Amino acid sequence: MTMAGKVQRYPTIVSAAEADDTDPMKAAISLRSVDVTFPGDDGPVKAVSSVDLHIRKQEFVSIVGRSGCGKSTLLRVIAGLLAPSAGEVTVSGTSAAEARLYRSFGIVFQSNVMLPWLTAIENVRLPLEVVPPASIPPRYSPEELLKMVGLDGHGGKYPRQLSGGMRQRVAIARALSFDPPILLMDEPFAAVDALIRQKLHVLLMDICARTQKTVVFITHDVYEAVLLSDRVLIMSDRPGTIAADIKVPFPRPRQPELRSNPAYMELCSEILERLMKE
Amino acid sequence: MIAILKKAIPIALFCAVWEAACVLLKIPAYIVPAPHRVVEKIINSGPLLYSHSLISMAEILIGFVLASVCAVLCAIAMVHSRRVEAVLEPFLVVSQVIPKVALAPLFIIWFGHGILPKIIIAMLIAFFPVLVNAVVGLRSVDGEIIELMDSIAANRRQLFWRVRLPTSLPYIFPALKVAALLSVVGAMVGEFVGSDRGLGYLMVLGDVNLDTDLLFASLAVVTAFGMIIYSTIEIFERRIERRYGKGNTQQHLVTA
Repeated sequence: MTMAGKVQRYPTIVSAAEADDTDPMKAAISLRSVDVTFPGDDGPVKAVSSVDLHIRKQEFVSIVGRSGCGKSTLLRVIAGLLAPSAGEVTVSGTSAAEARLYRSFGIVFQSNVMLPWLTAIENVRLPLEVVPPASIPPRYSPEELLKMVGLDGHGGKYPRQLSGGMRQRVAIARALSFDPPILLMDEPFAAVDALIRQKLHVLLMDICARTQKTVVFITHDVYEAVLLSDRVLIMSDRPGTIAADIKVPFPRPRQPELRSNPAYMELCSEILERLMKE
Repeated sequence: MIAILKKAIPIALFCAVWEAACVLLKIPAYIVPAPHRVVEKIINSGPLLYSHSLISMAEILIGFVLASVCAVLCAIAMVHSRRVEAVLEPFLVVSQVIPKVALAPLFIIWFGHGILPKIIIAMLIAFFPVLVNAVVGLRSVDGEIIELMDSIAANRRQLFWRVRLPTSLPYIFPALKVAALLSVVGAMVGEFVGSDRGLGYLMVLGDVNLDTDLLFASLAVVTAFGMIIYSTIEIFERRIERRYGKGNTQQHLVTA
């Protein structure tokens, strides 16, 4: 069965977010024929090749692919941290680098970096201290955010006193602390145990619904990608290109119970199969 | 307190062996005076040692502080500007290859017998280890932390004060300990070469007059002073390491 057939069988239910968008084609993030080439020992290495990608406002897009296929590189290009070797990146009508200076992105890095000499709460507060909020305070205070990610009472601890999973949750709280319109998450739940991961899935969906975030989410976990996303992109290996763009037709708000839905299972296994071929 | 005792016990034992050796082997005092003679000399010549040690301490401290401040500032400039780095680097290599101690006579010619040439020598010797460690420390920031700061639109100043400087402190402090000891060496060498004041001068005086007691007494005072600076920096170093470091001081020292 083809992907197109899948989409027809489960007609896309337009989410509230999409319906509210007066101009649904106006992309929050737009990449046009983006290439990224790194200098290597044996000549230049193409990490990302001719990626065309348009992400609507308030859309949740996952990118799945094997390790080293250029997912993280693509995320850095979107974040304006890495200039593409060719092509164009536009974020809300400006360049990615400019959007970064306007603090459009809350990034959760793969290695869940924290400043080791600051406590958990101080790390969450860091973005607000670097650029204090102009007039409107952010929707959630750092304390509330720590509570939301389940770290109530751990605010005074230093990174070395926290487990990898806890640090990842601090990184998520930090990314949300200044209420950026776009969340870029690089395997944010990789080090979190299964139970907390489920809770964080619910939390993330809830926060995105309430605060109208646009999310680009990198993961290895196809089940997670399908559960959370409006679209799942499959990235091929070396050089990384978008090999498939799969719409996830389940309505929002979604519940973790979706996992036991046969249609969900079928879509997941289909994506997995597709991923194996890449 | 217990830590100090633990350090004092081996030294006390050493002094006891030294005392016993002097008495049993009947070593003449002008070759090696027994510890009790050195202590006596320190007490008897208290005012003399005191006035001369003030000079030496001033040279050591000023030289050390100037070297540390200049080295850290240079490191900051080098890390922030490739041009500054390109200009400074050859000079630094050359200045490192020149035996600075051998320049002491030259500085005496240029700056006379006062305190200034000693400060300069102390400074020159102490400068390089701090510089190298500060450069490495300022550069040792995790790439993802820099990306994080970029993503929250931190400017260069914020990146420096909030990330680079704290990251570099565990590298700078062990180098400061080394620098403190080197500035003691520098000041003493300066005084040997040409001076009419200071503990180095007293040592030369003791040497010329075969007043070995005085030589040892001066040596003891300068050693004690070196230990005080070293331990003081070590106290700060431990705090810095606990707060900003990876938990192991040794891994942060680039040059010894």
